[in-house]
Amino acid sequence: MVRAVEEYLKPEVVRQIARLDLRAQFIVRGFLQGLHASPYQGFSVEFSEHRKYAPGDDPKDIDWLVYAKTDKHYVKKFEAETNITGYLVIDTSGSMAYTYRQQLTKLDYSISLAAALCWLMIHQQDPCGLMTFDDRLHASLPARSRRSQIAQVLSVLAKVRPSGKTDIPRSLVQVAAMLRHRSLVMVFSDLLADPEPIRESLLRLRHRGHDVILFHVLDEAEVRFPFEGVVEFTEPEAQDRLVIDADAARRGYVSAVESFREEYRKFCFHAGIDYAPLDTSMQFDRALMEYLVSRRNRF
Amino acid sequence: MNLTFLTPMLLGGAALVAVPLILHLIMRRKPVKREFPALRFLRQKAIANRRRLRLNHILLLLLRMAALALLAFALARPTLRGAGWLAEGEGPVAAVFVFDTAPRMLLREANRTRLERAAAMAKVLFAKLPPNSKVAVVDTSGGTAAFAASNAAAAARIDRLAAAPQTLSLPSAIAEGRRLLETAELPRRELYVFTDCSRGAWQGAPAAEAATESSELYVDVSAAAPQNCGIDGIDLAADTIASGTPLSLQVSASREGPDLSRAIAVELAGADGRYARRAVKPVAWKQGRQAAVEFEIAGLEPGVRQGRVLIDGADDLEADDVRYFTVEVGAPARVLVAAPAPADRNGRFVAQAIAPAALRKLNKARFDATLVDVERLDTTAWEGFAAIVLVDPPPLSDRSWDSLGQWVAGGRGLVVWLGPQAVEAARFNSDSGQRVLGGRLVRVWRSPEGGNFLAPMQLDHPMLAAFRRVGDAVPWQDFPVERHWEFQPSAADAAAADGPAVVVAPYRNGLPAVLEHRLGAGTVVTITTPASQAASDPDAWNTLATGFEPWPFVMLANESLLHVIDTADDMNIAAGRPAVLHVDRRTATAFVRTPGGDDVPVAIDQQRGTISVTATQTPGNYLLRSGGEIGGLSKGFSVNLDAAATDIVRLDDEALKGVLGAGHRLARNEADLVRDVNLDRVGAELFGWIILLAAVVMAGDWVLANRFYAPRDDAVGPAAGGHLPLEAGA
Repeated sequence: MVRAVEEYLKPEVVRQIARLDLRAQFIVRGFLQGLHASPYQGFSVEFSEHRKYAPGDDPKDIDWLVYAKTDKHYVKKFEAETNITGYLVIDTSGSMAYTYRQQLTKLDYSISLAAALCWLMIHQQDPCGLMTFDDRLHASLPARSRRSQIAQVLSVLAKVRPSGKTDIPRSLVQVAAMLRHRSLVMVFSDLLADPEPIRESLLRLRHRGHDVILFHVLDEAEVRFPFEGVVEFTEPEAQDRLVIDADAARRGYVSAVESFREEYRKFCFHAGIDYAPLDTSMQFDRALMEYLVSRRNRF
Repeated sequence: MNLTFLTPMLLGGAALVAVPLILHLIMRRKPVKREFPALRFLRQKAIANRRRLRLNHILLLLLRMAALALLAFALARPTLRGAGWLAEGEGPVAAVFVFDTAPRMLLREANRTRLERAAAMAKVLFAKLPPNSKVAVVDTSGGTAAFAASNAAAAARIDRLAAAPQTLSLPSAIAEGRRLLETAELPRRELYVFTDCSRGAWQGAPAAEAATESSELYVDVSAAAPQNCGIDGIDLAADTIASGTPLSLQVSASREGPDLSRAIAVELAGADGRYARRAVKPVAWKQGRQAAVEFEIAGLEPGVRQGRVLIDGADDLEADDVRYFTVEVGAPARVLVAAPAPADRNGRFVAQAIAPAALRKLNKARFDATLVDVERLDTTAWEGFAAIVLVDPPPLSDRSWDSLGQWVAGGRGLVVWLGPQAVEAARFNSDSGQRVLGGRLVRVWRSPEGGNFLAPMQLDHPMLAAFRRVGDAVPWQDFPVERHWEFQPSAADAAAADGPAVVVAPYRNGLPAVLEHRLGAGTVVTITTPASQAASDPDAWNTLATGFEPWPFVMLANESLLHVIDTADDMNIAAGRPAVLHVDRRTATAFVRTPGGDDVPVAIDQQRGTISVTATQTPGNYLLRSGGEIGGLSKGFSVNLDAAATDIVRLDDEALKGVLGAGHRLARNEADLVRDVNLDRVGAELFGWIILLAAVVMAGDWVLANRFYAPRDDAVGPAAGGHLPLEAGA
């Protein structure tokens, strides 16, 4: 019996698949099966396009055969230009290891998503690279579009262990410095740090011409705050402690998180950044759709 | 209400409230630990939240302390009681039993009188008395109030209780009981009042006093639906009647219970003391209504006549089924009417008014009037006359005044109708004259035609009692008084021995019209306008005697004379009141025959010429005899129960609250009595209530504690380290 499409996209189902490559395929196939009038149709990797000549284009790129047939100038180096270089930038700090339900941590969720995206990109022959960071950049795989790149990316992702404190601005600045071509930078982070430097670093990426998708991954508990009674909370990175009556604090907390996300949403809108607020209970299709919409908007 | 503890030592357990405090301080239960990365969002609200947390902790702490304190409180077995801070539950008490022994307590209900019921309930209380208790019995018959030597003696006193006419009212007996309790040495004091809660028992009782230190319990011995019919009272038209005059009796009788028809009879005592029935009339009562029956008994022989009015047939209370009366039937009182010459003309109005010729012929006149010229007054023998009437007297000599004064002071009467003959006021106002009249003439007062007349404002003077029966119907305005003497009573200190004359009735202009002056044992009545002038006289001062149908004048002439002749012997008295009868000073010894038939010698007050009989507790007819059967003294009096003594109508709850106080305790039956006494002596234990309260507090603690600390189903351990290893796969 064929599983319902939604089943492929549920974190609790995906969690049961240990192999990351299978997990990635599982997510992508589930996603593609679910698409009907999908934007994916416009991104066939087999299809080549011509583009009208525009002043500034190199004249040597003009396809004279087409000119002969149509008496119009078209440039022919279109295949390379339709490819998009994507970089998966994943926050691996200690806070990303958090899970309330003991199912997918924020990092697991981010990795699953990143793997699916990688798998999707490589199959579209888009080069895909990988960077992980906590308070600085760690692993770094240059973008490739070879099929073997999937294995390399997944291999690195499978070995990632959450640890240490986070320094997102610094890491993003490093990312910006490393990327020479305009790329699609997909950042996976819980953004639990001072927002202002993070925004500056994101702007810096934008100023360099990169397209940025910010996957703001929070745990389900971080969004809904399901705690009750008196709880002593410990911050995993800084080891700060706070004893609090969870029932009394819930409303204020949820409101604070919502305004935190809202501020990021507004900032990203103004900065031309795609902002995807996610939590670990959400299906993966939303994240994949963000990517595809972003890719289409580039052309 | 006092709060006491049966096991006060256990109150020390309240110190355990310190335990949760100590535990709270040294063993603070740790909250559930959780890792949580998004701590930054919590910090903003942390301060307010911490305050609430602390408040919750304090609330929990207080609840636990309260629970422990309540447990200790409950185990100490607190009890609410009316008295006994100092004594133990079974310590001796000083108890005073106050009984209402009025005759109404003989009302028989369920084959038992109220008094018997009170005694039975008192026995129940006796059985509940702790050992070594002191008991006193006080009743309304008024004996000495003291604590009995032993409980057995007190019980015997209760057994001997008998109904008797009250000498003490119930409130007075209660006050006596309270005074007695104050002298008691025992710290616990109890007062029990046995009452039928009737209107008669609490008549005229002051509002309830403030609570005393002693515990007071009222025991209601009345029944729910008493049935009784009784004679409330008999109204004699006069204590003294002339022979040949019928005796008028007005009997009022009331009924408690359903409608009833009975007969009321009048019986007269014969010479042998036996009663013979003279009249019977039927009476039909409606529920709670009074009935009035009038009798006229004619043919009474001269002398002291005694009788009784009774309701035929038996009922639940016999004491009020009979009332006694005594009247004196005698020859018409002889009155000397002295008027200016010609006396038969000037004195005829008064003489006709007091002894009408028609009645004299029939030998039924109240008075035997003898007319005499005032000039011959001194030479007339006054012996045998009961009173002298001076009609328009001229100024008399001092000797005449002195003689009159002396004669009146000996217990006779004088009526003076002042008129124009007194024109020489200065002569009239001699010292002797003023002594007799109690004042002096000032001037003749003239009033415009028809503008002035007698206007008695209040009819409360005994002389005007007869006018009360006709009320406002007396047409005084039809008998104008154009001239009258202005009479000024002597100053209060001027005639210290006898006092000044007092105004009985004024004219419309406010000046005195009728005055009364007590002179020794006699009385002088002065009327400041004459009754001697003919209607044809152009100088007539008034038309009192000459107006159309002058019955007010006739009444005034008769009543003034009756008033001065009255011997002041009250022959119908209430039980317990002393009877005072005037006798001839020459009487040496006298005996009183009581209703029981006993002859009791009584002493004679030679100085006052009176006999006082104080042993008048028993209702009935008393006969006073001295000397032989013929020619000896024969007087008598009747003793009746006070109406309150037989008034069994129960006070309603509101009225009862007024006399007993809002917080009074009233036991209606033996079960009430035992419970109330136990409640008061042992107290009502609050254990159950406090344990319930403690349970509520503990439940509140449990709910709050679970809310604060209890582990949640979804809290399955620390959240850290939830990362699952992944395999690279491809």
